[in-house]
Parts: sequence; structure tokens; C-alpha cells
Amino acid sequence: MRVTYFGQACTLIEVAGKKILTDPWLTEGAYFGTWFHTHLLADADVTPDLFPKDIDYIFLSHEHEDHVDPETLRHFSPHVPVLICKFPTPRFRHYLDSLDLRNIREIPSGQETNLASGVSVTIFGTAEYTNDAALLVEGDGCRLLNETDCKLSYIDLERIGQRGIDIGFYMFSGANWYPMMYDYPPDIQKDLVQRRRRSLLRSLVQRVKLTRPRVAVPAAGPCTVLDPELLWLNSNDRGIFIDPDEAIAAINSANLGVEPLYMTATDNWNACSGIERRGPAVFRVPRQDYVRVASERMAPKLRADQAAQPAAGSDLPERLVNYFNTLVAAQTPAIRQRINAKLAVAITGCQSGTWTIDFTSTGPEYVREGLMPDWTYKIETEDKLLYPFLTGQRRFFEHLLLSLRVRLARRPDEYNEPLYHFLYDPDPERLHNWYASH
Amino acid sequence: MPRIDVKLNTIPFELPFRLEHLGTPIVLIRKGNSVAAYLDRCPHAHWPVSEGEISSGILHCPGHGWQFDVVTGRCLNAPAYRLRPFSVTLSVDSAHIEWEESDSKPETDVDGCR
Repeated sequence: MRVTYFGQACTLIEVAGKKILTDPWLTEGAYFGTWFHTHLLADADVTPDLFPKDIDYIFLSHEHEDHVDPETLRHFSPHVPVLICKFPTPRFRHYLDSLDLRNIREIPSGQETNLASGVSVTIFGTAEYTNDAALLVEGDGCRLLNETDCKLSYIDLERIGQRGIDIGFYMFSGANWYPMMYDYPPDIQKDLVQRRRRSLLRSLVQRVKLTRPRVAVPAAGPCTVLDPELLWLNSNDRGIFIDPDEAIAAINSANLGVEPLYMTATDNWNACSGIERRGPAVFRVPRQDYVRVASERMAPKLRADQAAQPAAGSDLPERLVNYFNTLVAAQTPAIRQRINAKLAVAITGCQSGTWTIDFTSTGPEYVREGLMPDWTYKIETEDKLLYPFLTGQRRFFEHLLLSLRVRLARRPDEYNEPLYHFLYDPDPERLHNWYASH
Repeated sequence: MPRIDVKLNTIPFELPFRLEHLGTPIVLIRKGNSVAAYLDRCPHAHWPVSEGEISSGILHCPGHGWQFDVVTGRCLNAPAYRLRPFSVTLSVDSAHIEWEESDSKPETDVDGCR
């Protein structure tokens, strides 16, 4: 078994004569130009054009842009078998259908599937409301685990560990907007960031401890933010995008009897001969230095891309009201009660305005113009970023939050999980079914 | 109704203390003059919270960092969730812990914090 790393959750696994590619994201600037790879793939001559096309299987874990990249996928044959987890609803499947992938194979979580002689895979789905999945590959007498971003249950991880893992790719870096994009005073925010970083590293160590791989690779991040205005997100003080060196140190200090391995893009690991460093030397310079130089290089392109971002239509207010009214009205009263939020939306730009989506209303109107004084959650963003979600051009509202081009606030300062679930996937039936059993 | 008695002098202060009785994993947390008992299973992804750390009255789950008030079991990240509490009665030298059979069944997973 041989595996080449291409940043984030992308691995090319060569086993028993087959090639399995996981979560190929070979472009840069996901989520409105915010997310870049830990190191720019182009520095290692990796682009969708240049990437080998003789792939036997593609595994896609979930819909996030750094895992499913339509631009990258267009470079592969639409007939390559695409392996995904069979999730409770076909939302992810339908999205992949819309990308013209014609050979999608849904595999139930935990079911071992033979792909070819001597090669089997097992996909493990997360038990969370969100869709996500990890991949276990077995062949050539070896086992590889790629967690991607997936938070697996203790029981699944324990079972995976019992099977004996040779190499595991583990998520360790934060990958969302908490707490950086919230309106905390600087000292509180700094404290929350540090707590979150410690928590993420503790979690990494525990998952490695539970699965006991021979070799543990910190992976699935960190993303790098290269927009000069958002560079602060890469700092150790203010961001949750942890340097892989810290992950290596955390595994080392835990004395688990596991070899931690820092792989940069294009590095290759062979079950017999170990690591072969193929990444360019620039990938080994201190991260903050790399980020500063990369940002200077990418700034002109980012500015051009931002200037080219289409303006919001003048019908934004009507669309916003209709969008949220339709979605909230479609929920059962019990779900609206569970959410129990007053979601304030403050839009800047030419189509600026404020609205409150009131889940506590008895209907039929749930959206009011203006900010209600007792709002409980607030999203502030640019009109041109919100608009494509209202038109359906972009389908996953969570991606707006992942763009980190939002300002957020919550009152009280508590995580409203049902509200998050609504924003993640407002499918009324899915929300109803989930909360009927939770 | 399952029941177990634990000598107080075996329970450390402000450290998660795990025990198992009739297949039910239990975590005890002693703070001041009180002892709290919970099912040793995080409501998020079923990690044993007894492997976590306690600081400033907060128990941190080792799996994904969910935080719980050690006295109430309430989840600080997602207030709708809590550790499943067991009944505790203190005598001079022991803690008597009781629970319903149904209390030891796993809770269903929930999402992480955002």
C-alpha cells in the first residue's frame, strides 16, 4: 500500500493495483476565496489539469467545498465510481448528481465492501445531524484510516482500532467559525480560542490513542486564510487553524507508541519503505512565514476575484423574506419551538437592510423588517455573499458561515443546536425525524 | 433498580472516578461535600467522560471537547443536553448510587458546537 497526500483530506491510495482518491480539492480559494490549502498546491505543481486521471474510485465524505470541489471533479471522468456514505436523506447524493457524476455508489455506514480482489473499503458515517463520513481501506495486508472531518462515535473508533490500523489521517485543526467570528471582547475571545485549540489537540490525542495506528498523520487542515484583511485568522492567538507541528508535538508528548508523521502535499508513504519527502522545501519553512509570503502573492488575484463577485440583485429584500418565510413555515410547530430563536440578519452593501426571522411567531409571517430588540442570534454579512444562497445558485447556507466573512453574535452566549441544524439543512422532514428521536 | 455503595474515602476530589456495575459505566465526581454520579458516556459521541479533565468545575469530554458542569451535568456548549444523572444519597462514609435500568441505555448522538 502506498499513499500520497495532497493536503486537507485528499489522499491518493494505491493498493492491490487500484487507485482510490479521497476528497479531491485541488484548487484554491474555497468559500468565497477564504480557504486555501495549508500550503499552496501549485507550489508542488499540483493542479487539476496535471493530476493523474487514471483513478479507479473516488471517495467523497461530505459537501464542504474543501472536500467536494466541482472544478476538480470536472477533470475526472464522470463514470469513475464515486463512493459515498448512505446518509439518512439523499441531499448529498442529489448534490453529486447535479455535478453530473454518473456512477455514485452509496454504501451503508460500517458495511465492508469489496472493491476488487484484495481491496475492501468500509465507510463510517457520523451519527451527527450533519453529513460526514470517514474511510477505512484494507488491502496488501495493510489498513488505512482517513477520518476526513468526520466526528466518529467512540464505538466506531474503538472497533476500527481493534482491527489494527497501519496509517491514520486525523483531523486536528478547527474548521469552522467559532469563536473567531463572534463579537466577544478581545480578551474573552483570546481565551476561548486557546481553550478550543487545547480541546482540539486533546481530542486528536484521544482518537489516536483509541485507534492505535502505527503511523498517525495530522490531516484535514489547517486551512490557510490568505486574504490580507483576514490574515489574523492564521495567528496562534486569534485563530483555531492549528499548525501541524503542534499536532505532532501533542502526539509525541502523549507517549502512545505511535509514530506521528507530518506529511505535506505530495509526500508519499509506503507501507514497506516509509516516508518519501516529495513536497518542496518551502513547505517546511515556519508556517507564519509561509502564510505571509503566500498572502502577498495571492493578494492581487483575491482582489480581482472579489471585484468580479456579482453584485446582489435589487430584489434581495423580497428574496430574503420569501426564502426564510418558506423554510420556517414548512417546519412543524414543535421544530419552531425547539429552535426558539429570533435570528437577526444585518446586510451591508448596496442592498443593505436588517431583518429578523422570528421562530417564535405563530405565523404565517416569520420575517420582519428591522432588528427585533430581543434577537437571540445575529448574522451580519455582505449583500453579494448572501444573495447567491437566496437565488439557489449556492445551495448550502452553512458555506456562508464557513467563508468567515460574517460577524456573529448570540444572546445568551449559548450554542443553539436546533438553529444550527436548521441553517445546515432545513429539510422539514429530516428535522422532524431527528428531533422526534432526540 | 440497580444500586451500588461506594466508600467516600475511595472517591478522589474533583477528579473523574470511573466504576462499572452490572455493565453500566458510571462516573463519580466529588466536589466539596457532594458527590455527583452520571452515566459515563458523553451525549455527543459516547466517549467515556471519565477519561476527561476537570478544571474550574467543568468536566471536559476527551472525545470532542464538550463541557459539562460537574454539579448539574448540564452541557455548557449545547444546553439542551446533559450527562445522564444517577441518584446519589450520602451517608456518613458512603455514597449510595441508584439508577433505573433504562438510564444506562446510550443516549443518541448530537452535533458538535458552533
